[in-house]
Amino acid sequence: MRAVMVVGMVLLLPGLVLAGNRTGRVVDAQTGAPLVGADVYLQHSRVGTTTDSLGWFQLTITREQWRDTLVVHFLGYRELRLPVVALENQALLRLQPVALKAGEGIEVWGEKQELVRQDIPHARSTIHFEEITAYGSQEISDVLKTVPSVRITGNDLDGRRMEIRGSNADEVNVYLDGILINNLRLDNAADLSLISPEDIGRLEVLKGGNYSLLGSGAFGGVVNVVTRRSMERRFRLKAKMGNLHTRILLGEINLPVSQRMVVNYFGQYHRLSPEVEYFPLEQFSDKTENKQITTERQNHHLSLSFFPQNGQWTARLLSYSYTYRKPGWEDRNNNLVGALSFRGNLPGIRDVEMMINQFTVRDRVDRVTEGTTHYLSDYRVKRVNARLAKKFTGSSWEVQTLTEYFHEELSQNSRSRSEDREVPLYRADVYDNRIAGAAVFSATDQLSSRPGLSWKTYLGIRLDALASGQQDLTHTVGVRLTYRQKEWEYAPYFNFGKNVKYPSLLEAAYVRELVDFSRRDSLARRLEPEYNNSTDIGVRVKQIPEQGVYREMEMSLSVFTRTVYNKLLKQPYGNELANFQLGRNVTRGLEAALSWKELYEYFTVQLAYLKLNVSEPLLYAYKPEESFSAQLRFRSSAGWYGTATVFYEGNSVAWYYDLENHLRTKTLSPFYDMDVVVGWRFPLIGITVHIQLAGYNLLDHAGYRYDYLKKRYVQISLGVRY
Amino acid sequence: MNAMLRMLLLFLLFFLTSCEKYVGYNLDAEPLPVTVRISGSVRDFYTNQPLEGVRVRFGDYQTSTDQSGFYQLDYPYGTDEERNKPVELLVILKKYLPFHESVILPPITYIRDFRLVRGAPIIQKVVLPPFTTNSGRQIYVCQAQVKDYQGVVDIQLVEALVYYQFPGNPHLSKYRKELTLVYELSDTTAYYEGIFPPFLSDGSTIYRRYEIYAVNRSGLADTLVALRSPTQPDTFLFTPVLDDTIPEIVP
Repeated sequence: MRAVMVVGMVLLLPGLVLAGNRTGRVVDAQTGAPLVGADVYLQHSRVGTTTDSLGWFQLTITREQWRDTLVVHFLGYRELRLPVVALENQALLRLQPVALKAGEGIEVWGEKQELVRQDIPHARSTIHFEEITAYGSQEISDVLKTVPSVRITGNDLDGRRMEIRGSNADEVNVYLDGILINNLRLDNAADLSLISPEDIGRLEVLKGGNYSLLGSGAFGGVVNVVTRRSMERRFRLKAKMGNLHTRILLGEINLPVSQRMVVNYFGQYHRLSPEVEYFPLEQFSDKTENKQITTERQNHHLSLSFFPQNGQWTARLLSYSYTYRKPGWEDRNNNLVGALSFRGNLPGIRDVEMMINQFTVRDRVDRVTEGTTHYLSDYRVKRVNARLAKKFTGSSWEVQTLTEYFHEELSQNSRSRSEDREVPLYRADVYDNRIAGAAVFSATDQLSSRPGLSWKTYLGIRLDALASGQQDLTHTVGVRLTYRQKEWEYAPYFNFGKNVKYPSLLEAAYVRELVDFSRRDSLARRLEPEYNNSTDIGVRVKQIPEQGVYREMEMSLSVFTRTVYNKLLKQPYGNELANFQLGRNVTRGLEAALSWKELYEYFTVQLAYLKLNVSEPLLYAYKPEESFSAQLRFRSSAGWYGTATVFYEGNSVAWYYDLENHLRTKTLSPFYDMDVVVGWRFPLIGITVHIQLAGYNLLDHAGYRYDYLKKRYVQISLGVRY
Repeated sequence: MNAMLRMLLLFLLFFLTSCEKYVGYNLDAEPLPVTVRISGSVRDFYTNQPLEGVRVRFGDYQTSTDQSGFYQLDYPYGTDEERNKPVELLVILKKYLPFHESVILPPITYIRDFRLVRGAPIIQKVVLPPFTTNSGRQIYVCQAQVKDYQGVVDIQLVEALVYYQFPGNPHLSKYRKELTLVYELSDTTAYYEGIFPPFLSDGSTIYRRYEIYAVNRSGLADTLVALRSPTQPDTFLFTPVLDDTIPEIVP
């Protein structure tokens, strides 16, 4: 209605229209909330853009285009059309929501209500399914090589663990479609093996240490993995073969069972002989070779999505299991995630997210040292998480609230078994509960005298309370500015805040005798939480030239500092190893990224750089002082594609105490290596065939010396898709 | 509807209060065993005597045996050991063949006894009595009984170092000479003999103190420092097998 009024008013004043730029803002007609990512284009000349995080867009209109029609399209809303001449500068375009067609809800509720999108502004990198398949790797570590500040370490036994901006792996929260999958095992780090790279639709990395909604304890950052979902009927099968006796078979079925319901199953079998032992103390030195090791991994993911009129229900079951065998030693590990969630509008309540999930891990080890005695260990952990989130929206403000409940429990049981009898060796059962409430207020404002300039300020608060007694109130602030001029967009941001990380159940249960010199009895009974103060200032610059050799250029730069204190420190004290909670570390860094998309039509270039300064390598060991990666992608219209990536890691330093309690330094020398992938996709009797040849760490410079995942690996794969 | 809601609430309340596990906490666990206690004894392989001062080394950690040959060590048991990483084990005592092995340690306790093989020769008996030859010259005969468990053939060298003294001068001269094998008592034990003059060319006369040194092919050696009785001459171990090449003047 209002759009018609705008059109009418402007038609009366055609004389005011001049050639040049037009900015505008697309909002929901009912709530006034900005619509992010709406398509704004000229119908006949087919030029266009999308709206930014505040709903703003900008178009450069040439003389001929004044007779064209402007189309504003956003899934879930009625399309808006108006003559270009009717478009005022800084026009407010209100889109009417409509009842959704089947399947459209997938993207709408995902985009509108993803909690990580409501949080304080941070540096963000995103990888999409197409890039992941083009990279071909079975290891998520390879795929993430081009993302600035992200590093993956680990293996099957320790899990594939992600570090962001020189953090430790337990300081990164990983969410799979909103479910926290940080493991409760040895430490609190998430095992990314839980998700097969081929099952990922989109992977977002949010870097920085202060979040209110989903980043409790995430001093390094938050990772949000969104699995592939759509309403199309899809079938996919792929087989891969590589050295280290690798065999991989994976398949996916996406089946819409009705207009409003879709079932998706993804399964993967992966076999490998790593040929080296995974001994933690050998992680950064020569490794013991063992050709008799075999590992088998299986991923299964079944999800059922149902789309009523105004929302999306999802039920899912995800399992990841592995078996690791060598003579005299066997580990069987099973992970199971079950979740039920709803996103959307309930009768009378808008923008609600509800979720309940349970995550269990069971790890069984059977080992023989000498003779016939078996040592059995059975380790079980469970987390129950319930969440309720609601968003309140005003014309220029938003409040995202969140309430969460966590139940975590752990039981450990080990025994020895000889031919005729079992002897219990050790048993433990511990549990704790936590509740949290958080809210992020944000307000948008703009300067009427300067079109194209707007900003959004954020304030976040969070309260955590543990059943075991600890309570913390943390807060964060942030601001993001957006300035648009012709084909350029500048978006500087700033954030500052405090974050708290609670000791994992294992730490809370076992690290008890703490040495604390500030107390009279010098022994603190319990571990205290770790705290982090961090600030981040950065800018993202984007250019979409009207003409040029590339379609889009994006540049980002950010400077950050992070102070962590209350870190647990194990130090020889007398003849024993004592626990101190005095550790304080300051990490400073600079992160930069530069990319050109569709350079000379066929190429994409991506460069990433990170410079780090860690004050206490005793607490943060082996963080490369510098890392750099460069990637060149080629994609032809005939289905050929290729990717070449070179990467470099500078000196990594660690401090440690030797047996005589002397502080020592160990430095790993820099290395570089490269990955090359070529592939071809072509149609054949109604299906798409995909052949790919890939090589990772081709120069083998890191070899055995560095990390488990950094060995030369060559793979060939064949896939079919329907 | 209202009744149902009430039922639901009641059920929830019941659930929450009955399951302390879902509202309370328990963080009391018995301390996790973080070391494995390694203990045992070390004895001589041939004599079964306990050996004292034996260095027993597991990985980076070591200890030594007491008088009764016992040792005990608390070895930090980490993830590497849990994953069956072999630990290098080394048992060392001077004059004994070192024992080396890779072991996979079990959790909690590990008991291991060792019997070390004496590698070095053993100088069992030694004498240095005076003897008058048929030609009337007085000499000293050094006789030694040396044992080597690896066999007499393994003994490479047995030599004696005899001290000579100037009257009224504290300075001692030395005369070193290899002893020759004269008789095999068994596969492992043999007699050795050598002849020494009563005085050297520089005028010094034989002193009470002398040393015997024996070494075998493994490079392991035994040394014995002996003193002649000033009053009572030593008795011969066996009838001397004299050699005519007695040097008149010693360099």
